[in-house]
Amino acid sequence: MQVEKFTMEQFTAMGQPVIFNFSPGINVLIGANSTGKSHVMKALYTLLKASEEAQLKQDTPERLQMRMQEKLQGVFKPDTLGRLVRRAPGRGSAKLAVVYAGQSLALELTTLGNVRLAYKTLIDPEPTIYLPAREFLTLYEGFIALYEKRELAFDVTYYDLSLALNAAPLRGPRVEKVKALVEPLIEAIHGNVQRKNDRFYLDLPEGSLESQLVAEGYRKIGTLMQLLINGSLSQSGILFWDEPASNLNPNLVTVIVKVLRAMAQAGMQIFVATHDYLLSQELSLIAEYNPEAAIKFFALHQPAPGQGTEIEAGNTLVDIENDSILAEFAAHYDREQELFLSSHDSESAGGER
Amino acid sequence: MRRFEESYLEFRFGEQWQPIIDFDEHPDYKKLTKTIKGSKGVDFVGVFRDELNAREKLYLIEVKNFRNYRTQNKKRLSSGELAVELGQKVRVSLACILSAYRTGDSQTWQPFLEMLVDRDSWLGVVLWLEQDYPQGRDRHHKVRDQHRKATLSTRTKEYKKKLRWVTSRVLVCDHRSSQLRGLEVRNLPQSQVD
Repeated sequence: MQVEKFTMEQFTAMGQPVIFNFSPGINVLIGANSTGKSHVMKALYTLLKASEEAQLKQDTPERLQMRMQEKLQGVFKPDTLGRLVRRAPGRGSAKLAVVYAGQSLALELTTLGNVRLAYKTLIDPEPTIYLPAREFLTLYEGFIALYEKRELAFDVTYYDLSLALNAAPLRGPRVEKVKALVEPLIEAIHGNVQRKNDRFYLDLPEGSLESQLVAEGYRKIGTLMQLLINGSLSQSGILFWDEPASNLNPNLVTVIVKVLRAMAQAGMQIFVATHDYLLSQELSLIAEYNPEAAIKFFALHQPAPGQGTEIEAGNTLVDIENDSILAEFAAHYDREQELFLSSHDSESAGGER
Repeated sequence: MRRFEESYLEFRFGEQWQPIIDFDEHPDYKKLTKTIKGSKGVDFVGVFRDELNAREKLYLIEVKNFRNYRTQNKKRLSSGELAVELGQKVRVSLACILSAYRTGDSQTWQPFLEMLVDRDSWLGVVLWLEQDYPQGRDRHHKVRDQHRKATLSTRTKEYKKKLRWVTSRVLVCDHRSSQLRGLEVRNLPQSQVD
């Protein structure tokens, strides 16, 4: 079961209604800062995760409405919920609507912070995981207890992730199913992830090292491994991953691309927000040469500063006119050529001596 | 205006390019390559008289036209083979300028040699690289240009590494992206050249 469509209106960076018709496989969100990539993922995550939790707790419609309100607050952490409504004169409201496996769920949020749901609850939503841009393995130790007792600056996606990491490893035939997804990750870092007591370690050729002592890219891969090994990321689940390539060596980026594709082929629906040239272009190459690959790209852009974000969708990056990452690489070449042609310094200033 | 044809490309150098030499056609270059088998220089060596900046700039220009031959040349591009080849051609070209000044037409080579031995002179190497882009990358002008520039930018970094021993001014460009003043380049159909 997958997210088919998501509509946002007057929500943070979005003004006029923007509609995402998602791929059942990988969905890549690109765009400059403040165009709302993470907000798209977080808003969608809120609706799905709250529905998943409501199903487990067998919420009444009133309780679900309350849960949505709490989840929005927890995910976005605004001063007041009404601040998520795009600023405009007078009172207004924001709307979020998702179509998931043929079922619809719509939420309206007023500037006063009231939430109204127009829907029936989503039935049997698949497990949803949100991986924030910041690696979490090193923060895990004691995080659950601390989050439950204290008011922390971390949003609730970190708490949800800590619960997902906390699950015990899979046993029996289900292990075999995730093996194919975990193996490329083991190969990439030449090691495996282990939880001992309340800490994560990476068993690497140089020995078992605390996650705090290994590179951040390895920790990100370790997080993904743990979620696969313990079944939190199931083959029919939904993964949101904010900036998967941040702090990753380019050779690990290509590993991540392979794993994302394998997970999508296994049935997982994936949402990725990225600024990374290599990650986005590698995914586009797959889409260009394998039209059946079920990858879709969404470029978020603002026609002018302060205006609402607009969406451009394409099956490859080639179809996207407003690719902010590529535009900057092209501009880099222009600057290089300009410097080449206009430099007047002596060679001793430019060459090595 | 000096006109040359090289690898199915027409190069038109304006008056600011003085002198400009097609290495392949010059007897001094031919003498060297006959004596030392396997020696290959760049295609053009020229001085650009930059009136805007009151500066003379020495250019070594190598031309590669991989249009219609992308597959055959893919390995040369990706393995770094072409970068090594360019480095070697620059090495031979410098040797040729020196030997030709000493044993050949000194007057022709003097301005080049003087610039080469002057630490304060400007020396740039240009790889003129024409290539096809994969099918499907041609749908939108803007995106196509951005892709080309991103690719050329990456290539420029590779070639720079192989030429740091002589200069850090290296540029990879093609007829669409070039901003070299006083130089017009266009593709020629194969039949027109043959």
